[in-house]
Amino acid sequence: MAELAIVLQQIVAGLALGSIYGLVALGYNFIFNAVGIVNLAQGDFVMLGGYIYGGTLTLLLGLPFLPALILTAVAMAIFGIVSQRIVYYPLRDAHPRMVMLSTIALGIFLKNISLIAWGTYPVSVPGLFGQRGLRIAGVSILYQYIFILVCVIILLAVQQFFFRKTTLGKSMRAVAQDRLAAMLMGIDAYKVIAITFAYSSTLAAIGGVLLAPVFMVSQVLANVGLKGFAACVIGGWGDITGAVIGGLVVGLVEVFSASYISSVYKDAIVFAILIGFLIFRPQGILGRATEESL
Amino acid sequence: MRRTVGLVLALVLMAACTAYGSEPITIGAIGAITGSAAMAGEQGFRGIALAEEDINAAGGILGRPVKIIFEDSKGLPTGGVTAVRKLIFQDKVVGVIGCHQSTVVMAVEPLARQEGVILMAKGSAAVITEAGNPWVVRVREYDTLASFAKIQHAVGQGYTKFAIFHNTDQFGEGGRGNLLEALDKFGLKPVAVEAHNTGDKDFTAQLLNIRRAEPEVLIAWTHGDEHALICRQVKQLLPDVVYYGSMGVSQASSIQMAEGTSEGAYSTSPYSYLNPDPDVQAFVVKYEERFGRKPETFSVLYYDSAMMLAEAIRRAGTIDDRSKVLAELKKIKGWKGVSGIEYSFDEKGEAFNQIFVVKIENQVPVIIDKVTVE
Repeated sequence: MAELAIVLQQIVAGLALGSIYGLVALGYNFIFNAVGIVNLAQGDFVMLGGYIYGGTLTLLLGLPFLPALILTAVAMAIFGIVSQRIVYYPLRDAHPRMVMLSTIALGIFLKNISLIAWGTYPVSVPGLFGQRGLRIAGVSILYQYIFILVCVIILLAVQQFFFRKTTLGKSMRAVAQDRLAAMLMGIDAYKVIAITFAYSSTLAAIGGVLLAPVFMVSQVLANVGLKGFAACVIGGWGDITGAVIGGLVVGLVEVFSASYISSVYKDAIVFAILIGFLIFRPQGILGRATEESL
Repeated sequence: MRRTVGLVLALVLMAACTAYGSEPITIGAIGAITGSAAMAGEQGFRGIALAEEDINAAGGILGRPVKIIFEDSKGLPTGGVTAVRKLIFQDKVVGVIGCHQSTVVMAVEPLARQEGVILMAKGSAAVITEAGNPWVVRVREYDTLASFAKIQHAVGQGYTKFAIFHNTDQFGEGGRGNLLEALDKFGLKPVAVEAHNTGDKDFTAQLLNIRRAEPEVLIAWTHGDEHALICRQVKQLLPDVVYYGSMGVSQASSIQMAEGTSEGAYSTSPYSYLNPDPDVQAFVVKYEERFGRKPETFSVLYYDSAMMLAEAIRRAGTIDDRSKVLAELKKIKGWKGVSGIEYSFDEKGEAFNQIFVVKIENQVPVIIDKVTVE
């Protein structure tokens, strides 16, 4: 019985972590779907969202949760538009690799600027639920984790609907597939791309807001970007459901490998699996094989 | 009115000229200002900034002003080496205060030996003073002392089933070794030993493995922000265990980050801002006025180190012969610092032989015991 509770607890922890990685992966996928590039600063966007929400709006200005969340989302949307203007637009005709390099630079810039703006102490905010949780049959679950899971499911549904049913979503996919052709069809590609960055930054902001109460906000928070990246590769680039599934796989692998193989090498194990996917199944679990190079 | 202003200005300039007329004596310091250990480095940086002001306000050393140059180790051994090379070869410092990370200290220690520069280490790993480098002294409680004090206290409470949870860096690995040794002295073995990496955020897997072993006491050996997260998760997963943490858990910032979950945790500390000692309180007031935060352990240790090094230079009467300064430093006995500890250097270069046992009560670390090792 005690053993069963422990295994259940491990599954809960894996799913909780996994939904966080899935959330980050959704942000990656959104930009990938629209522009065909990987924004390697996605984790830093999450960190920045967390800092704006936790460090500035909650601790400094004392705003309650909902206004703080909305303002963070708005601030990050604006930030997304500005950053695409700086890191993407000037390089729009270059090879996607160049744009990815410039997003790495943006990530380094964000880490350092946040150190100056918010200091070295991790920002800790209780969020809606603090450290409270449920306890069922020896298994404890933080309310915050349930909240994260619910948010991820909602965002997943919204994103699916958005890409499949709305004109803007379809335009985004068209722009990603062939920017020139999309422009010839009368789509304002650069406006669409700006909106893409705005939305993807908003997703990152939500990620930061949801993560702040469980992980605190520090420069290290940007590392969730790496796990989100692994989730995208494992789930399949561009596939929205795949991103969340990939996230859950990464979360579960992390917890179970830490429990039964080595807690010290758990990240190494996750990234070894990532490399395995890149070599043997680059299209991921749900993705379709393509000829295009990243 | 204008004449008065002019007069005051002239007087100030004259005063400045007498104190700053000669080349300043340079003292180096290193710590992580960026990277994952940046919190500790900043505490040290602030403490030492106050030391520089206090030394100069008291007229400097040997009639010369003092300039303390703080370099960023970035929390990395390579960053530390670059920083110390700059301090030694470019700034020509008498000694280097820091680093607060044992890994960085071990990386820069050969440089101090080679160039004959005093290194006032703040890492707590036992190996620092056991490497036999005569230029290295330590102004911090060392892990053998801290781990022994914790185990002694816990055993005194009647506990026998211990689990160890440590960081995988040099600090944590050293701590694990020392805890095992200390347990062995009481004829005990841990029921579980688990590890995590710096920067980890989720400890569920390790804590569940520990839960399987059903310990009474969990001793965690890691840094402040990780303690906060571990305490939160221990509250969820191991609510009945008694928590003993390395120094970081009792830091004000860590207690605040733990959001109440570190209540009742024990630690040992060379310092508590609640110590009623007037020297300690005077520093707390001064520091808080300046930085808006309570001084933490590294703030007082960097401060005390700078003051002791200044005193050693004063007694040596020179900075040209650094071995003489080192000899004077090692002669310092019973020197009362703003940490509340009386420092007495021994032949190994350890300044500490006593430590406080603290318990977190109502969100503050309260001193409940003091262990002295002869």
